[in-house]
Order: sequence, then C-alpha cells, then structure tokens
Amino acid sequence: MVVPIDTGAAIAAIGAGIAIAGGAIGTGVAQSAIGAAGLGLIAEKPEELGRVLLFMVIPETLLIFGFVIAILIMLHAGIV
Amino acid sequence: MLSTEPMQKVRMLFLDQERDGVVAFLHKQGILDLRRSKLELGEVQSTTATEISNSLIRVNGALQLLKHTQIKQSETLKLETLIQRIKGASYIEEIYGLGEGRREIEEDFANLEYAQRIASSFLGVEIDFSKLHSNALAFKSFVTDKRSAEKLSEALKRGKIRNNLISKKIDKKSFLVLIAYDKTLSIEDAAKGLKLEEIDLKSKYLIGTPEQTIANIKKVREGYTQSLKEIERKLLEMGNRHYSELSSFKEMLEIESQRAGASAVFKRTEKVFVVEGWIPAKSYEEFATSVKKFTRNRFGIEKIHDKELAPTLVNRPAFLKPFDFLMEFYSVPRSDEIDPTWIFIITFPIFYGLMISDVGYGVVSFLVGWLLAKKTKPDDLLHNVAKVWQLCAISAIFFGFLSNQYFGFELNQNFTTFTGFNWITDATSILVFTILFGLVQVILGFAFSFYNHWKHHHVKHAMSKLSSIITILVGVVAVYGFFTGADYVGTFGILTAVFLVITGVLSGIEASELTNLMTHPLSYARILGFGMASVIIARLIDNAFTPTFQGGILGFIILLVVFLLLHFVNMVLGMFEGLIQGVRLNFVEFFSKFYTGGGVKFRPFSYRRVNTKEDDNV
Repeated sequence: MVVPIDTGAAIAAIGAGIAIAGGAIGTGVAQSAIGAAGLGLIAEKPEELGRVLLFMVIPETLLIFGFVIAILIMLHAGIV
Repeated sequence: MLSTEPMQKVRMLFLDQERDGVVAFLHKQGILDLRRSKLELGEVQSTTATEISNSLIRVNGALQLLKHTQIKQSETLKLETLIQRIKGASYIEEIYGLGEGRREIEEDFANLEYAQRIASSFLGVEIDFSKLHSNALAFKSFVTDKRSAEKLSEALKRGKIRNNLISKKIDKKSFLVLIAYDKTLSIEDAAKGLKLEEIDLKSKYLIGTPEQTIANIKKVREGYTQSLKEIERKLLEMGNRHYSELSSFKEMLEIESQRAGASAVFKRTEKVFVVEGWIPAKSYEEFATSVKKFTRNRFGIEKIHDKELAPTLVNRPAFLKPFDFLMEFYSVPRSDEIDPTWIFIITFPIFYGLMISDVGYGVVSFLVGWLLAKKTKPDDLLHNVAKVWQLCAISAIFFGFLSNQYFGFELNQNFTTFTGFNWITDATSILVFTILFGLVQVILGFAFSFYNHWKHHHVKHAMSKLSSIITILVGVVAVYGFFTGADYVGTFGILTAVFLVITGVLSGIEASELTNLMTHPLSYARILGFGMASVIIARLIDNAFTPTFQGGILGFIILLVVFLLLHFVNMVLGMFEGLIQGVRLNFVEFFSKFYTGGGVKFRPFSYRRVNTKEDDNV
C-alpha cells in the first residue's frame, strides 16, 4: 500500500523535530556542566541538594522553547 | 496577607539585684527576641553557666546510656536545689561505670576477633604462640602472596640473615609467613618493596597452639557475652528507675542554660541592667503592662527606632506551615519586603496538579506523601516536602478529573456527563493558558518589585519595574496582533521597542535581563510540556500493555507486571518533575523579579516544658 506523503507537512514535522532536538542538546550541554559542579557541591555539603536540583533544571527552559516552537510549527502546518 | 508581622524593638532597664527573677519572667513570657545592646556599658557575666553546663553534660551522658522509658512529669526545682540533687545522685556514677564496662568489653571483642583470625590462619602449623618470646630470636609474621613470600626468603638468604621461615597457603592467593631470626639483625631491608601485611603476634589472646587459642577465645567470648547481658540488665533496671528523673533534670538544666546564656547580650551599670529585643508591635502594650506588674513598676521601657532589620514573623494556619519551611529552605523573607509565600501556596499546587493531571497518580502521590510524613520527623525537610506533596496531590486529582485521566484511561463518561479539557486536542488552548498564567505571575512579580522599590524610595528602579509591566502588556498586544493579522501590530511593535529601551535605561545594570520579559512568561509553557508528556506516556502504556487473558494466565501476569512497572516509572518521573518544575517556576521566574530574602527568623526567648510542671515560683 502506498501512503501519500504531504511534502509540506513532512518538512514541517522535520522542522519541529529539529526545534526539539536543538533545545534538548542545548539543555544537555548546560546540565552536564551544572550537574558536575552540583555533584561536587553535594559531596561537600549534602544539605545543598535542594538548591542544586533547582539549578539543574534551570537550563530546561531551552528545551521548553524548542517544544513551544515545535508546537507552533505543527499548528501552522496543520499537523495537530 | 502579603506582609510579615510588624515588629517593634524595645529597650528595658531593670534592677540588677532582680536579674534572675526578671530573666526567668521574660523567658516565661516567650515573646521577646533578644538582641545584644549597642550601649557602651559593662558586660553581664553569668556566675552559674559553667556549673549548669557541667551538670548538663553529666546528665546527658547518663541518659544516652539508658533506654528510653515512659516519662512522668516532675516538679520544677530551683537551680541551687537542682544542682545539689544532681551532685547527690550517686546512681549517675553507677550508670557511667556500667557504660564503661560495656565499652571495654565491646572493644575487647575486636581484639578477640583479630586473635581468632590469626589463630585460624595458623591452624595446621606446628606453633605455640606462648613460646614466641626469646632473648635471642625475634618473630615476625605476614600475610602475602606466593611471589613475595619467595622473594622474602631469597632476600633473607642474600642478606645472610639466619632464619627459620615457615610459609602456609591460606587461600588461592594468600600465603602466611612466619619468620624466626636473630634478634640483633633487621629484616627491614629484605622486606622492602614487597607486598607484606604484618600480623600482630603480641595479642594477649594468642596463647598455646592455634587450637588452644581458638578454644580459649571461645571461652572468653562466652564470659563476655554473659557479662554484657548482666550489664544490659542492670542498665535496663537503672533506666526504669531513673530515666524519668534524669529527663526532667535535663529539661530543667536546658532551660537554666538558656537563661544563663541570655546574660551575654545584656549590658549593665552598677545598679541596673539593660535588655533589648524585638516583640510583635501589636503585643507591645500588653507586654509592657505585664512587665510593670511583675517588677511592681521598678523598670523602664522605651521603643527604639534604629536601622536594624526586624526579624521575620509570619502567622499562618498550621497546615500551611510546611510551605514556610520550604520558603525558609530557599531564603527567609525580609521583614521590610513583600512576603510572597501566599502566592507560592496558591500557585505551586496548581502547577503540580496540572503537570500530573491524573486522578490515579494524584491518589498515589497523596498516599506516598502521607506515608513519608508519617515516617519522618516534623523538623525534617522531607517531612515538610511530604506535607506539601499531600496538598499538591489533591490538586493533581482535581485536574485529573478535569482532564479525564485515570492512570491514562478516560473514565469520566461512566459516571458524569461533564467534559473538561483534553491534553491532546486542546493543546493550543492549554499553551495559551499557561503562557497567560506566566504573564500574570511575571507582571505580579514586577508589581511587587515596584512596591518594594517605591517603599524604599528607589524611584528610578520603581519606574523601571512599571516600565517592564507596560512593555509586557504592549508586547502581548503586538504578538496577538501579529498572529491575528491585525493592522495595529506595527504601532504596538514600535511601542514595545520604545518601552523596552526605557526599561533598559532606567534599570541600568539589570538591562541584560530585558530578555527575561519574553522568556520568563514563555517558560510557563513547560506546564503543557510536562503535562502532555505524562498523559501521552500513560496512554501509550495503556494501549500496549493493558493486561488481557489472550495469552493465558502467564501472559496476563507478565503484562500486569510490565503495566504496573511502567506506570510506576511514569508516575515517579511526573511527581519529580512536578515538584521541581513547580518550585522552579516560583523561585526562578517569579521571585527573581522582586524577592531579596535573607531575612532573620523571629526566635523569641522562650522554652517548652514537657517533662516538668510549670511553677510560678521558680
């Protein structure tokens, strides 16, 4: 069975994927540095765990932006 | 609601001859947060602090050796009587003696263990540990590997050290080596660089052959076990007789210790001493009247208005106290700024509830929170998190019902015609809602900041916050116009740019944070992201792994295990993200606009009696 492909929608879907991937990579790079430093701090001061966790999630904003852009792309392309 | 309790600093003068009574009175009142007086007067020395401290150490030490028993409330004693009673309590020495005996036996158990290991290693070797003492010979023993044992033998030969070396294989890798050699010579050079772990042959329990040693150790151990049982029995008996009294001594001493320690912040002249501290402003009149009555008007009181930051006191219902604990964990609000805890109390459960949005997960969250709160102490961070978690779980159940999610299944139609929202089909509306929610909270943050700066007469900064609010508002209109193709988009776009520049100029070094005007409200879209992800994963699990009997009983069981396990993982991820992201949206996106923190918590000079009865004469 041949499934018809809407080229525009496919490109939009790829774009949405790139938006998410870019945000995720950026978040990963930032979290790796914060995580390493944070673990060092927890080793010395275990009571700082809460604060470190909070700092750890700060770069997730990048991923959220990627997510928002992906949603906008898909909305405009009529995928969702 | 958004401010902390107004406080008043007071200075009081009392007759020095009435000091002990006045300090005890202030302590009972429990309303004054003491501060060190800045007046240039003499210091007040406590004459009883050392004696109290020594008695407290003695009583504490004895209590730690006893098992906790039920405590009967006792009468409160005057300090002199209390110290005398403790000095005369000979049973305290007896408890210490028993504790010392137990400690010695426990330490010797380690020696017995070591000797047993050595003797076991020597089993099969013809040796008498008692004869390893000679005027002419020295004895050394090592645990090593085969290669090092051979090298040691060769090195001894090369060094012309006459010796008798016995080696025995202990296990696959280890060898036991015993060397007898001329006492006038040294084997240090021969042993250099080799992997040798020396055995201490001087243990007092290494007597006779290895077999005899092991038998002797067994006998000694049996004796020790009996002795320990006897000590434990006596300590239990002591505990039953004296634990309650010692606990009441401890409580009285701790209260007296606080009173003696308080003297350090007083100042004095020849006849009077000065006390300074903070009280809630609304309690000032009542407090002054009670002091007047106690001292029969022989005192002076005045309000002080210096620049010292007042301590922070908040009055909130007990069930909301865990939120204050979380706030303190972040930073205590300053008494001269807006206290945003109420906003945190309202928004945090909403964020959590939206991100979980599942009745089933909410119920499990509630149960986990309840269990955790039960297992932890009230002062623990975890206990307070658990309490907050329980409240948030109710919100998750509420939003779960609204979005018709029960472990990913849609069940509302079975008992109601109500239709709330759908995470997948209503994604656009939810996205708009979350960003609008963010906009409201961010604007509120700037409004609080405007108020704080205005209150402290920082007009320029206050104006920059006002300008930030206008920038966001006109920016929102411009963005709306852009998406709807309205013709006013250009005008509002220019207005946004103008107010952005004004904000940048007014806020100076904070201009780098201008981008936050856009990014922080957008950041609230994470609520949609995490909420949607949780729902989609739950549905995928339901679609793929809902247990059925198609594959027989075994297939059903396997599917059930996988189904529960995957839902558990999704639930834990959701709970963790819900807590962390909910806290983050408040602490980072909202608080960063206005919150300074770093306040000093109000800690009144007070005590609580549990083991002793209150006595107005003491």
